[in-house]
Amino acid sequence: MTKSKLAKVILLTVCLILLSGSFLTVSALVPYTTFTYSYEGNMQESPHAYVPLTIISAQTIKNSYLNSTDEAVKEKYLFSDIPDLQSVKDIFVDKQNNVYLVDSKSNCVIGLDENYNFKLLINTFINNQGIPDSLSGCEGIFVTDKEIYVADKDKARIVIFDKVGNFVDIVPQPKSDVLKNIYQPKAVAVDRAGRIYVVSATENYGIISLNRDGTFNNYVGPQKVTYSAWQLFLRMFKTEEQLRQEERYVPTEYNNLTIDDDGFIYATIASIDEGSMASAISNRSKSGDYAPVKKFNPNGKDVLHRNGLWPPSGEVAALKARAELPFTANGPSKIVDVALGPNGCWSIIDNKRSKVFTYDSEGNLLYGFGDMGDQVGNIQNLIGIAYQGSNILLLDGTTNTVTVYKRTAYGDLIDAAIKNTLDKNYEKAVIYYTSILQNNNNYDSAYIGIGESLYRNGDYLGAMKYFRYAHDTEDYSEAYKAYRQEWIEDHVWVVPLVIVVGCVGISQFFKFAKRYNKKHQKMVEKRSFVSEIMYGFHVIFHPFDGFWDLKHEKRGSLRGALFWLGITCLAYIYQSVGEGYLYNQSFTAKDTLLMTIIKVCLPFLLFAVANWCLTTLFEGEGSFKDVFIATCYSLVPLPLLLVPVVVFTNFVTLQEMSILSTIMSIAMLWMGFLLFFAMMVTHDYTLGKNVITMVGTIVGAGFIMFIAVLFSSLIVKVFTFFYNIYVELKYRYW
Amino acid sequence: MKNSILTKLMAILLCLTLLAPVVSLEVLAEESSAASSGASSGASSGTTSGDEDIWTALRPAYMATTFKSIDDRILGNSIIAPMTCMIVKDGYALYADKMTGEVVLLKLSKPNEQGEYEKKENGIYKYDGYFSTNPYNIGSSTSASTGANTTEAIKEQLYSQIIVNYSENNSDLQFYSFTDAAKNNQINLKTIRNGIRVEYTLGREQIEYLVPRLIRAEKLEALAAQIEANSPVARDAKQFRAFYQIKDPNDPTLPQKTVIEMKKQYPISEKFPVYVCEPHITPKELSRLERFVKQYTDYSFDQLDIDHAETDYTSKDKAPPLFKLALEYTIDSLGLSVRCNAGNIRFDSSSYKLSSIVILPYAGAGNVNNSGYIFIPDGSGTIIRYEDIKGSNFTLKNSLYGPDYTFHSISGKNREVMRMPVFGAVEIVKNQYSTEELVEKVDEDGNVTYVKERVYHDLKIGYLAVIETGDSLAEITVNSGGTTHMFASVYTSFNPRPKDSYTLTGGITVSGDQGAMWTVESKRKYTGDYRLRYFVMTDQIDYSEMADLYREYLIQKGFISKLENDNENIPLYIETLGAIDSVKKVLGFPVKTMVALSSFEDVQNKLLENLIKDNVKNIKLKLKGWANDGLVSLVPNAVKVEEVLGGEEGLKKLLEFAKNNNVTIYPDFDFAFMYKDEYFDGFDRSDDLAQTIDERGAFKKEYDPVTQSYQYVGMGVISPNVMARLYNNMYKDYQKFNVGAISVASLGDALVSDFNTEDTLHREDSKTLVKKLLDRIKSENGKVMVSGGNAYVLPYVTDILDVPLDDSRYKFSAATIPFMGMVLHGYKEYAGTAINLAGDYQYTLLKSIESGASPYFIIAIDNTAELKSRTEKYLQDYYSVRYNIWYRDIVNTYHILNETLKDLKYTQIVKHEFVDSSFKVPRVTYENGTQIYINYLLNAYTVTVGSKQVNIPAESFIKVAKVNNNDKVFCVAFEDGSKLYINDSDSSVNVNAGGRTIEIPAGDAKRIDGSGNELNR
Repeated sequence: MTKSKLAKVILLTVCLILLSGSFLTVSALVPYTTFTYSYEGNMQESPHAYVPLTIISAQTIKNSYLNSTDEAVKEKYLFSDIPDLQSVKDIFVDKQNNVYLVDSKSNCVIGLDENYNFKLLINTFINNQGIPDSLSGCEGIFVTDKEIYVADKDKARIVIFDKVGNFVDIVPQPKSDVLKNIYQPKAVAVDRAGRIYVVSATENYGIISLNRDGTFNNYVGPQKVTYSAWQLFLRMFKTEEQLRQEERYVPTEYNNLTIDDDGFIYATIASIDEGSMASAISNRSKSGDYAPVKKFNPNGKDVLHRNGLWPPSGEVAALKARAELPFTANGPSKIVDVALGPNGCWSIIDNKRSKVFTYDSEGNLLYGFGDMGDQVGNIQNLIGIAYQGSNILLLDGTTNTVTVYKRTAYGDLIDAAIKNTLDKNYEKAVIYYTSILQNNNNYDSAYIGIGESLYRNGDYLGAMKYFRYAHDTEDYSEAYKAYRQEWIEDHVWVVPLVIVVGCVGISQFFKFAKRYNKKHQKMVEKRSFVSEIMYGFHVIFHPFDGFWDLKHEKRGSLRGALFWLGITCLAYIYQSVGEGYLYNQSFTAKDTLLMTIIKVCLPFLLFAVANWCLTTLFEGEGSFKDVFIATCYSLVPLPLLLVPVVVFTNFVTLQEMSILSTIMSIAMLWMGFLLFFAMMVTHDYTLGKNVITMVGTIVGAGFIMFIAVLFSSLIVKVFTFFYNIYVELKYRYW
Repeated sequence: MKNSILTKLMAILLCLTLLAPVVSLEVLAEESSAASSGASSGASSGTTSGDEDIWTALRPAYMATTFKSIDDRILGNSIIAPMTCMIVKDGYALYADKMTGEVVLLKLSKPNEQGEYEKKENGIYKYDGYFSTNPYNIGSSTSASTGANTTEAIKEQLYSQIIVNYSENNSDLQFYSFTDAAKNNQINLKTIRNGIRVEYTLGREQIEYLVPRLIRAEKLEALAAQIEANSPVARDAKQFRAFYQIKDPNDPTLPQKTVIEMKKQYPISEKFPVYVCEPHITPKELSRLERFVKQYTDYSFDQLDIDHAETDYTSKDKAPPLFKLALEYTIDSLGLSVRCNAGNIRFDSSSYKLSSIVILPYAGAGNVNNSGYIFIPDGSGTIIRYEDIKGSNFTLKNSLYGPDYTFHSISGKNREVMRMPVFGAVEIVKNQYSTEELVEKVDEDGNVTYVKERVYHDLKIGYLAVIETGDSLAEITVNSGGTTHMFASVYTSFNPRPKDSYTLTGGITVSGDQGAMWTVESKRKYTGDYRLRYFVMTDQIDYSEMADLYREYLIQKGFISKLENDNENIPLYIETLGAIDSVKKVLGFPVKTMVALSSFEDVQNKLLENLIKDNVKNIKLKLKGWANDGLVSLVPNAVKVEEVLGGEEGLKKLLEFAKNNNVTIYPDFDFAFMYKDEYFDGFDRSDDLAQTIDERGAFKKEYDPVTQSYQYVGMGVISPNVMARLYNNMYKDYQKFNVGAISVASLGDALVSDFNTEDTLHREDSKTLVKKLLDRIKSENGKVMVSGGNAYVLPYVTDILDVPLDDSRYKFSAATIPFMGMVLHGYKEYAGTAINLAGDYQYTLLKSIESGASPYFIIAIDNTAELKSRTEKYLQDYYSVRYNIWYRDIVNTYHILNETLKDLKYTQIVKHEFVDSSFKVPRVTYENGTQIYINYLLNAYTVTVGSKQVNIPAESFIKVAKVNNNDKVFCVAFEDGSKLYINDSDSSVNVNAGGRTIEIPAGDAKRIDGSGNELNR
């Protein structure tokens, strides 16, 4: 059944691909890589979703004017020179696909039609006082259906023109004394109700919301100051003066914004502390703190979905600033603009790397692309982005050009898949997802999309497979739950049977162990290896009596102790390879064999050695051998509980994982208790004294470690010193 | 005739009046003698000190004279001597300026009946085309953007034939042959067999400067006084004094401490006060001071010695930089060849490090105010039009044959590789010359009269340069003067002594974490020739002629030969990915297993049999990852066929099938890169990898878009020294399969040097080794397939994949041209990059048609999801290789291409040009007259075929062929399989279409679809 359905899907895709010839576009060599990020944070190459189409420069604009067939335009600007583009600061595309550029040096707005032909020029105008006026240092532009809003930065105002360039109105600086900083409007957006949202250059209290008449409404999205525990601790010791000083470093200046049809404001911030931003990304934070892009509802609440593999903050790899490597760009992205595309997709641009990252409405990264260089399609200083239909327009602040990128067939497939998913047209979406996957083996969202469809159709095993490819553990867990349910329904008798057999087996074994240990209680010259091992089961339930006998009756031995240490190591090795998919998503072992053994043995040995060192000073009665044996026998609960836990990890869902971790905590706690009493009995201490020596042991272990690290780093230093002398000599005098 | 002499005289007079303020009066007096001595000094233009005076007159003349044409330049003027005709041979004449080393090559017009080359009235041979090492109109150069005159310093550079880039104490410096050799009369011109030899001595030969460094106070005062008296500029004496400091311990104003120190430092000052010359004075400043002394005083070297002896001064001056090298211009039947022997470049290598030598930087330089273009072999080839670069300053630089991975720093991100050692330029000078001609005039009454009129002609010149030897060390550079001068040129530079810098991390001599940069020179330097061959174009003078010339050259050298005509279809290249290692969980434990992506059985049953069924007749199958641990393979030291693919038996069965079905199988081996190294695999990475300059194993670096820098991709670079050994061992196992073909993809693509101290190789050595190995591979295996196709592998390979179909798309370049295709079509079988991995399917299809390339696909039949989790860069590219999705496209693409290119397989491309102004609609013309139009525009484009207008659909192509060799009957084939027959002849023609015979009436046209039905036009 499912097989035939899949076959149908594949058949449909093949048809689709054959059809695809009609909407493929022409491009040439593309001088950048298009990519997504995998679950591990590695970059994965992908087919190009956008390819460079053409470059708009001052020259092409002038040529389009000279060759213009539009007599009205020609006549209108007959006597005005079209200024050179000197410092283009913003780009905007209106609903009719006209392109607007604003230049802060030529102080003008240039309008182009949808084919990038010159159409409109605004530089001087007669203002509402009837005096000739001009723009000055204008940096932002927003165009509604009727009007053009220009953020005139140096004159601290918003100037409004109509769509043919006639002056309409000036929105002056708000009078309200609530404005806390100098008013320098650099980006502007207008919602349907005519409210004007302004980003002011040095304003760190949020986006300024104004009414059309210029009265101040409120701040939108003030960035909260968040302190870490350490910072809070430090603040307790700071003086008033220092605290006030610190206030100034609150980095909350927004740098750009745009608004969607429903009045949601998308705003970007570039001044977030790099370290905080990097850790938010690597922790896959879903919160808006330290996020470089936010989506505010009209109440000023951040409602951006951040449900992708990684938070939508641009770059995911190469986050750590590593000065020793010759990276041109490292650390998190510097996000300077945001643009809204079709079907809820939105793109942000990284000025640091000249890259564009596009996300869907859920915050999944669809594709990133872009690079610096001197080839068509590369951007030197990426400062602005706008969507023109499905085209992307990128603004280069160095060359003052706009590069137009066209969506490829692959990009169209993604768009169609998203559109159908949004329209709840899941069956159709799957067809698109399948063909995306066949174009790009690495596309996680497609795996998830197909997996979800299979899940809906009841093919849980297939869904699990697809979720697994996409590292989507949550959906995998859901699918597994359903699959497990189905399996159990099919095999109703198995679960009770396993439980009964397990319980009976365990109780029978411990009964046997109890009997066995009782039988071997009496003192004999030579104890058998088996009896020494079996004694472990006695000790864990009767520590006082057990450890006493262990030492004085010699019921355990060194070989028995080593056996249990070995079993513990094996249990941990099994854990590192045998855990279920939800615990360990890679096919390989979590650690190497050696690392696992070291992980178990090193703390164990440290404890034993430190304890012995300390107790010999504090009149402990146990020898090192006694300490070693007792410590080993205390480990018994670990393998006893770990092995079944690891087995169970293969059969649990995400929700049930906490049960298993509780069991593991119990095992650790149990071992701790045993250790404590083992030492108390072995050294014949009082409770109080034992507490002190245990604390001392832990401190001692730390001290031993410290010495070891110090010593080894010294040795390394000495070695590198001589090595460097050798190298220098070699290259100077060889 | 008389008239022209008069104008010339006038021009000279004008020049002189212009020069008068610059040149002092005494120069004018000497001018005539200087000019005459320049003319008479002959081959051994001496280096006597008296000649220096010549330059006081000559230099301004060179700087300011505005020659109108190359003829004017050859003839010179009253100051600048005419160029001497050095040799006339094989239809060429070579003129040279003995003072500056400039050379002009004339390609002479056909000799007259007596076999003599005729001369024009002005005494110059009649010529069809010329090539000059420096532009003739340097004197009139202005900034192409601002119109300001070019500075003299820049003009001096423009007069140079050699630029030596060297470094002293890590600072980069240049020598220009005009500034540093010609002006010191250090250019020596000799005649040699078939040509001339120009010897350059760049730099200062004398070590000592005529500048007192420690001198008795009153003597210096006297000198300064002399300068003050004689120099017309008062500042000179001041400047001269500024370099000296008095040391007089008897000066009462000095504090005691200073006096003691002074006495300690300069014991002589106790006897008498002395002047000390600034101890850290630079050679440049020294030569300026020397000029003052020489010009304005009677001070001599004898006096200097006496004065220095008096003050006990001993010179600690380092020898100034001095480079000696020679250029040899020789003429043979092919044309001009320029040779520079690297072994004869002499300089003090202990103090100065040579960075590169630029040979003929301004040869054939074009004036950007004219139209024309520069051609560079960037990828498939690109042209940079003068119109587009006018006024912009830029330098595009790329090394030939891609990056050398042995070096620490490599460049060329996101760019195509230059694979052919050629470059050239074309310039069209509007109304350059005029002739008096009888022009037919028709007056109002219809009477025809002939009127003598001056008709202006455009001059079209162009050249193609081929780097014959030393190519692997060469860089090709395009340089546009932009704001400084009006020329744009393309040239090569070489570095005969490879050197590299690296960071010494943790070094003790350095403060901070950065580490010191060390620059180390290779132990082995290149001592062979750099030989450039220049072809002067005379026929079409465009890039099609360049391709023709280069093809002819390759044929003459025996590097390529025409494909044997066996009337086959074009080949379909398929690459299958074999096996890959994977980790499977067995009972919870991870176990390493091999997974088959395309087993031999699947390749035969699913792929080949289906393709044959779908009428694909000529399949060439490249097997990748089929042996030695699959895609992440061991170094090929043996052949261990992967069992999971079917083992040896499976391979034999596949080979058997292939033999019976006309399929050629090319099993791939990688001798250039190491993917992994295990014990006992016959490869020792410490010995067998190429080594970097700091003696570590070299690993391939690729541009990483994440960090936007070059990062290691986990591929070791195998030393060319061990490739032959590996091949020997491999071949022992391989020959028993008797495949008859082999693929050694990376050998045609990567070329590396090796700094291993025991057997150092520079790239030219490596090139020789690779060529030797390929020669053996070819003789032992028959068919050889490589990737990329660097020019030096051409003689040894039969199939080339990954031929660049596109250029790097520089913002300055106007159009991409399929130069490689134009050269190779009909001579080698080749394909572009895999169509299914290219960003854009339709675009790649059109590009393949433009280049005449065959289709190429990379596929995997099963388990492609295995590739998803791989982090290896070389596996990440395979994100779209599924067999089941691509199969239909493979067949369709093949049939489209085969239908178009099948009958042109053995025909060469004679012309490629753009028919629209935006360079988006090229027309490719084949030797038999068939033309292919490709429309890259997003809308339809109309062209005229015969008498009819034909629409090329958007992003599509048409093929226009003659029917029955009739020049007036055309068949226009469209991408959708339909054909339009146009009959411009006087009689009706029968054509065979879709199995039917259709009659096309005279003067009519019919469009017929694939099955023979007539369509409405």
